[in-house]
Amino acid sequence: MSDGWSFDGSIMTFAFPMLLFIVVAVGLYVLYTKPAAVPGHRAPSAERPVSYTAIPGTPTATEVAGIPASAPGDPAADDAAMAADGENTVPGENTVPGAR
Amino acid sequence: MKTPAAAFPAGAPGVLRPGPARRGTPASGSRRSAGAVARGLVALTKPRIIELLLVTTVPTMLLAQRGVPSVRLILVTLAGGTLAAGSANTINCYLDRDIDALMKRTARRPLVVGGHEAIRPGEALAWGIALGAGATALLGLMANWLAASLADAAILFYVFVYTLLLKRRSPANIVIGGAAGCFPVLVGWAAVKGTIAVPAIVLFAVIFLWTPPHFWALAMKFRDDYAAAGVPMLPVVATAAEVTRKIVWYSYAMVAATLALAPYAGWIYGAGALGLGGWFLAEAHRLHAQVARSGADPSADPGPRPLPMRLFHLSITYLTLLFVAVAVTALLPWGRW
Repeated sequence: MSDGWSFDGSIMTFAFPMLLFIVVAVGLYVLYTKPAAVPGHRAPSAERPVSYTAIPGTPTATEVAGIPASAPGDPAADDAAMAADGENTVPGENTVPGAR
Repeated sequence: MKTPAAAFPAGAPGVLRPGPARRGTPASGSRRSAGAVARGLVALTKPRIIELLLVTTVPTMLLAQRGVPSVRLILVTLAGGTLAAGSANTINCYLDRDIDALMKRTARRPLVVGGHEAIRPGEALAWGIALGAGATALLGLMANWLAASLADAAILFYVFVYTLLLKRRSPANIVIGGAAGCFPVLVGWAAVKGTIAVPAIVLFAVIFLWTPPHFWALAMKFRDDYAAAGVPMLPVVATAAEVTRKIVWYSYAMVAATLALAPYAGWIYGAGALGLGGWFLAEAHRLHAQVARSGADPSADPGPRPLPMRLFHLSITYLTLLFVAVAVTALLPWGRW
């Protein structure tokens, strides 16, 4: 029995689709792997949300004596800033107006 | 190989063929119940196919994130992907309603000429377009516009390249047109990262190369159906031996593509891809050997479970397990090299 193999059939159903796929894949790679080239692309925002609102005029972590400045986004810096703003303190301690 | 266009001078897609089976439109008589309309609208989206598309999306998102992305992003991407795939499938049903009536496998679809006519063609087209618009808005506004535009590209590719251009004209229809089914992995990756990267393209290649063995196995079983409808699927225009040889070629290319992801994904995935690939290749060779031995049409196999359908079902299990391996590797920190 003839198994029906033909060169043009193989071109049409194997070689051409594979070639087309390679062209499409390269096109996708060239167009969309660079964030700058993607229309409307936004860089991912900081994962740790801001959990407090700074009061204007109060010192920040870098301005409080004895507390080392930390990198932006460092949880330690956020905690230090909260402490400087009176958060995470024992209720009633240094928070009652006129206590000092 | 026969020239498909000469063998099957099919009419333009979507143009109804006159025939005795055609009956009046729904507007001509019976009232439709809301339940029947709702069931029809859901059936038009081909939920079983959507299910398989989504199986590939979530593991790709896990791999892109190297962990679990936000639940909100997963749900948005799955909902957007469901709407996009539903849109493409619905418009496909609208365009193919003439030939669907001629094939036993598709004769029960809601839109077929002479069918139960729960849905009017115009309603189906509007439903398909609305689903596509919903997918675009949902993905664009709640994930990102790259994911939305990739989903749109999949819809347009499926409708214009596969359904309208290739399906009734070329035996390579399912090979090239099958690329539409590869887009969910790109959508999933883009939803997480906002870009496309090499691993996403490799997964695209895996599904692209998986589609011909999967679909040709089905088409071998329903060869007479496709022949009656004038659709030149490869099993219709080529001998069974040539089809199974192409299945083996594509199977090897697919397994090579799956292994190409191993350096990125990790050894758990690599081991899984190797084992599953060996299983798939063994079954593909088994089918080819059976066809070569018998020299007969395997669709006429009198056995309890013909080998083409065995490979078809195996291909679904294979793809599901392969993407399970992707997900496991993405979630386990010790699964990497």
